[in-house]
Amino acid sequence: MSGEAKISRRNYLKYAGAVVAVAVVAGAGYYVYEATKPPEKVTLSYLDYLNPPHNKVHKDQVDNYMKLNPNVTINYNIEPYPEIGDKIIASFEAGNPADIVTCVSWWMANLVEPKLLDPAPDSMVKKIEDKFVPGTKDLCTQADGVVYGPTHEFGIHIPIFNLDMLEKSNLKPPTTWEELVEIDKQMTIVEGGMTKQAGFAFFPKGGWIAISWVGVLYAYGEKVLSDDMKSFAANTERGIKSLETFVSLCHPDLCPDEFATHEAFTKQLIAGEDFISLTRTYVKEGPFPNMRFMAYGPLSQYEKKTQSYTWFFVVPKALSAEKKKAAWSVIDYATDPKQDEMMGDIGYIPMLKESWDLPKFKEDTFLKAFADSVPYTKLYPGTSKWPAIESVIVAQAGRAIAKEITPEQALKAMEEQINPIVA
Amino acid sequence: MKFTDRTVFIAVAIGIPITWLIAFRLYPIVYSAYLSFNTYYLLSGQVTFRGLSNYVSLFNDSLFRVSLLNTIYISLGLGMVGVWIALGLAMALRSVKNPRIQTIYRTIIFIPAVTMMVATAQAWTWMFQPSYGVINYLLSLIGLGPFKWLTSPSEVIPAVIITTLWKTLGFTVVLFEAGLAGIPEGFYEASEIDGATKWQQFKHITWPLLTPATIFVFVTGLAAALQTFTQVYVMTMGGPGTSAYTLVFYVYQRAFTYKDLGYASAVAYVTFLIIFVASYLQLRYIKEKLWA
Repeated sequence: MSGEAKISRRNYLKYAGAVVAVAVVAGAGYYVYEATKPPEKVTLSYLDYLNPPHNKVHKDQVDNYMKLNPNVTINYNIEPYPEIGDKIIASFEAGNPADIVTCVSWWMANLVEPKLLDPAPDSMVKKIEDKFVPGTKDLCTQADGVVYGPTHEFGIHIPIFNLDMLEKSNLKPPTTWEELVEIDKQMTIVEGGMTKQAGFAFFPKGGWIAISWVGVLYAYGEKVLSDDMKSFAANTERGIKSLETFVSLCHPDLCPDEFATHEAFTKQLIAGEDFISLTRTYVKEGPFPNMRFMAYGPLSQYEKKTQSYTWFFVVPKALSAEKKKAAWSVIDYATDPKQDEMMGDIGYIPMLKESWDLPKFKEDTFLKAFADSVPYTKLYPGTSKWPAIESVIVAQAGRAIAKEITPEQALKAMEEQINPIVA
Repeated sequence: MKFTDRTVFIAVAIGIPITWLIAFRLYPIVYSAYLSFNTYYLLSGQVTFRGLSNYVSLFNDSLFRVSLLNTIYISLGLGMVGVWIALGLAMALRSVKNPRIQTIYRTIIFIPAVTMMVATAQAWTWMFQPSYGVINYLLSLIGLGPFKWLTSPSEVIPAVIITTLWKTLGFTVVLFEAGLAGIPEGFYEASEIDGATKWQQFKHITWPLLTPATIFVFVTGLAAALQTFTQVYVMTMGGPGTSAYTLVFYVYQRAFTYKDLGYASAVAYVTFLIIFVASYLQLRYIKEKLWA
């Protein structure tokens, strides 16, 4: 066919080059959020828990997203932490949940068991696999094997060491819980029946008792509930040892308050009544600005494991397709590299691998230790019965801390009270 | 029948509070009585009839026993100590002759009564801190302590009692002051002429004539003490362990932590029964012994 237009080599190269260029740009675009434009106007509600540093970042994200997507309106709401769990669960049960919800791992069970959550779209699952720090997908699938949303905050418990005290005492950071117990014994000073200094001090009050002990329990290779979630599984030899370890590391007279009383705690540290170790990343949020801290990752005993009460973005299953699309688009935006950097800037653990290439995070060996710990984390347990189970743990472990009963008796009591709850 | 503006106004004026009373008082009372015979887990929506088993379970419930004993301990502590301190303060206030200074003292004493319990409890939590708390510091100046307060199972209830005393004392003082103001000065003047001592005046004039105020203070004080919750929740969360559990705290735990509204309702009804019986016996005793 002589009339047929032939493509010249020059044009062929031009078109091929353009295709490659588009592919490269599109590929690169995966790293950078591209505004999605839902076909019609959409109004989304977004429920977050009260925590001013991250609330500001999330609110900025929402405002920026709305600027990029004028057809999407997002109503950003905040609830205090003690109330938000019940409100989330009740709103889902009642059929009127927010469209985007920040949900901590142990409430997820209440939403996963009755299948109230929308599984994350494939693109989000791929993003978690490819872009998030190693271990994140495992963390995201611990509820029932399905990814319901990306993490937006890693709450990982690993010891934090006061470098000044470590160096002054010529101590090496312990690698096992038993080593930490030994160091604690060496460092603890009791005068007139009162603890004046301790090597390590957990916060032995309220829910922190359960949260902290469960991390130790995991390192001892045990779990709170059996795999079928029908019985208490921690009343074992190792379980008893884990509680003994935990109890010996509680000094309630020295450290009776939660992190909420940071101010007093800081003064105490500066005054010289010191601990060598704390847990969690809150140190980076500013309560101890004059202290030098270091984190080295989870301690092991029988396993190198710790617990995490990670927060996830989730979307209700019952939403319309249009709203779902918009909600996942917002979440995609909130977990893009720029937003991750913003969270890192206020002291959270950056969640994306590429954030760790930024010099400011690369050099932050303290925060990096938390990100590197993700593969060693196991979620803080979650079942719809968890609040009652946790309450029993707090009460009985609390009695052991107060020396009313032995750790062995505490675990026996836990078993007797928890089994009827989960049966 | 013709509705005038007046009848409409009366109907609305009465109807609103009655509706409120039914919706937020009577209905919950009746519904919780119904729930106490059932199993009802919040959020599950399923109500299963269990007869008296919630009430029977209470007898074998060690946490209920602990909560009951702690509640009695707090009530007795407040009753035994608080009433006498309040009476002493009221009498001391009455003895201040300068009305302006009297008002200043009265205001100082009454301020805690109008302070929120949450704020009070939080402030006392810090003051009771064993290492840096001001209470241990002050006690150390007179050679006492250190005490572990909220971190010790044996010292936590006294700490709760002290906090509650501080908060409630002002109101009790005002009640006693009102009672004292009602005693005619002439009685004291006549007794002075007869050579009565201050103690005799207190024993034979002040105390008997204060009986109505005393009854009111004891009955309302006991009812309030038996409902101790906020200070325990804020200061200790029931701990260490379970050593500060009170009946109302236990009701809260069962209802909103365990989400077990049936059992929580049973505990609430037993608590109500205890308050009712204790108040009745107290009233009878005081009337018979003091007002006879």
